[in-house]
Amino acid sequence: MADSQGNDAQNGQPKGQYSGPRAIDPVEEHSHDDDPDFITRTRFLSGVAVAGGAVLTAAILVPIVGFAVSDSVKNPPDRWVDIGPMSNFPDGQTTSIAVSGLSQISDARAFVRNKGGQLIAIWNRCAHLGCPVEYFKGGDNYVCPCHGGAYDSLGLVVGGPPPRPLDRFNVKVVNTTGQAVGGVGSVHGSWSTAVVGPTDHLLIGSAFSINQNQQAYGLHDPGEPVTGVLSHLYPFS
Amino acid sequence: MNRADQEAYKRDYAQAKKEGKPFYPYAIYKDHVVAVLVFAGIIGMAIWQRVAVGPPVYSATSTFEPRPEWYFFFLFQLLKIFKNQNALVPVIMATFIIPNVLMVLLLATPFIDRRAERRISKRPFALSVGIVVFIFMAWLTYQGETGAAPISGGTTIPFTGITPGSAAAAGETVYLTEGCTSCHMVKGVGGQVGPNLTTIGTAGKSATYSGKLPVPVPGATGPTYSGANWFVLHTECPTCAKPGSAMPAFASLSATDLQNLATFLNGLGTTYK
Amino acid sequence: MSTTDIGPKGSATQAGEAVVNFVDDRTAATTGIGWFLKRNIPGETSWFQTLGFAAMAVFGLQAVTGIVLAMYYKPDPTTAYGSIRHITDDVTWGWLVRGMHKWGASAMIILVFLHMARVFIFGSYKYPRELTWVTGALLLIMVMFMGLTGYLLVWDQKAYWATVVAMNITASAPIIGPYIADILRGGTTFNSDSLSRFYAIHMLVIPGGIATFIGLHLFLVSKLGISEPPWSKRSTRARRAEEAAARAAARQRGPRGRHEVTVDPEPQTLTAEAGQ
Repeated sequence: MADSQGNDAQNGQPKGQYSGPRAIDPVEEHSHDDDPDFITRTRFLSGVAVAGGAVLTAAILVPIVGFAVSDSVKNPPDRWVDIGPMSNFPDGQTTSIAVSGLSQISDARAFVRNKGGQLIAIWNRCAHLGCPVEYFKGGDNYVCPCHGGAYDSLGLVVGGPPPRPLDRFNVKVVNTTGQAVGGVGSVHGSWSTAVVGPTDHLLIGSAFSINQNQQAYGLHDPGEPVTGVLSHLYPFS
Repeated sequence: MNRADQEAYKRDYAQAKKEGKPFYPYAIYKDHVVAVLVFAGIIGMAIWQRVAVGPPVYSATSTFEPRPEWYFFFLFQLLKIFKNQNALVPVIMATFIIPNVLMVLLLATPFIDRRAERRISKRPFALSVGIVVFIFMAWLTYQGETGAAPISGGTTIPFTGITPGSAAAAGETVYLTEGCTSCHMVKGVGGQVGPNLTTIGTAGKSATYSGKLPVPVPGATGPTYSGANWFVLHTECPTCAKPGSAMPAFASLSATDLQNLATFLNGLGTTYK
Repeated sequence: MSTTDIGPKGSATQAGEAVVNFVDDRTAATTGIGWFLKRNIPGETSWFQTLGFAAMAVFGLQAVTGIVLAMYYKPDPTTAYGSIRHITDDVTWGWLVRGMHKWGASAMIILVFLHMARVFIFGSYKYPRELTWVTGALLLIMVMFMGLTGYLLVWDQKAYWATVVAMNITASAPIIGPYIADILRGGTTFNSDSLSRFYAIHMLVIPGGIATFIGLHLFLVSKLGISEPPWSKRSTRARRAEEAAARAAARQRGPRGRHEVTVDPEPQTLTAEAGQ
């Protein structure tokens, strides 16, 4: 159809001429803003950039965090340490002995209390904040120099800030061929000394925590109560 | 601060800068002078007070008393204040709650105080908080520095009135070697689990106990124990002299030791000071 | 009249200027440095406002002494103590550098606290410097942790036990405390990995954090400007002038706040009409 000037009504060209797209016509860019699901080239490449950045970050962070953290939060393996013949731990006495750890600086000190047919090993790590506790023969008690925490002969709290008694080590008595002599005592972690002889060896094992009734719990860090309302602050120990 | 105060400050500060001086040299020369003095102080201290090395690490010790660096004394003392362990005042009050509350308040200071006034004389709340915090930290640091009372036995405590070789001197030796300082304080030395014994001789203690003593001591027979005899009874059997006492029984001491110790304790505050 | 006005420049001066121009053409460094050094600061700044720079200078000292100490220190539990003795007794000026590092640590803590007190008293944490205060408070906490981790590296009884107790304090924090303590220690109790962990934290992790936050802190201080002491004569003068102007404006207004005094352009004069 012709318009008033004789041009084609649709594209404004003189009638009879080519009416399709020409090289000099600007190509209309459709940004697809109205259609957010349409994947334009820009959107695709933005996605590639973000995904690549995430992969790079993960590739760096995952190995290093695993490396730095995994072994720290694992429980140490159980091991038994021979600390000498039973003649070193006479009946009726509490003997102080150094227990060697995996390395020199993880050496610990245990107080081996052999009384009334039961033998227990008490760790000298104060249950308040971990200071080394001292044994006093005169009163058969333990006192911590840091904040005056006081424990009785069994390591139960009699005064001061500790939230629970002194931790204990598992003990075992074996003869020279490695067989156990006697059996566990009435309290968790103790050993009955009824049939034990002076040449049998005392072995110290892993540590555990107790409450004031000498019931056993998993090993807690110092400062953490094992019973009561506050023990729920430490659900994973 | 509302928008008007903020704009007023910006105008005022722009005026201050206009009437001001260039950063170089007028600020930098002051910075450098003070920094030189500080460095001179550090190097001077390094030369005058040489840094030593203590005994090497021994993790199986049982006699070492841990202490932190001086700038952590105020936190260390806080642990001594919150000593008792109960649900209302647990250990974490001093180790976790108070330090974290203080840190959060420190970080949030500009959001807590949003008033426009800057002169300290017109900010009474800020001034009092600042003074209280400073005194609190300075006093706790000072206490941490001086308050390390040795608890292990074997330390001598100087007393007036004790003649060497007397029963009281022997009693003082028993007191120190049996670890009494672990729970009791005398003249500022010792722990605070049990009562302070500095003037215990003036307390006039007396008790009735009709049972037999674990270690018979001549002159200390029941049923009434007073004066030095009360100390004999109490040391051997604390629950006999004071029911409900948490003190362990020192029933392995000899009769002579018990007598000497009792003489010593009975005179504390009167004859021996 | 500057020296450049006297005849042609020598070849050394020309070469020097050529280098500066080469770099400046490509970096615009002289513009940035020129702005930093020549910007104005308020005229009446106090000597107490030098404490921040002093703290930063001591941090530089600690960084440098720490780096050279690291050349001789061996972070293994069996050899650490021996290496410290070696530094103190054998190495030339080892006692001096170690002393500077140790006393520098105490000086740093003191300076940072004094600087914080100065900022608090001056009210310099208020608008627009809130973020400067926040970055500064984080720096204070990081500096305290540097003291804690560095203290252990001497590996003597005092250092070891102080750190054992500090780690147990961390472990007493609710729920996550034990894990944080385990991660810092490298296990449930102190072991042979603990020392190198603390060394890495002391040498790399926290100094990286401190350097970043010092950068932020300095950027903010330069951009926002050094604050003026609130009792400066100029600000007192400005405040008095403003108060006087406010009082004068209040006098202009009547009791009901509206301008009731109007200036009559043609005042009426009562003349011969008085008798009528």
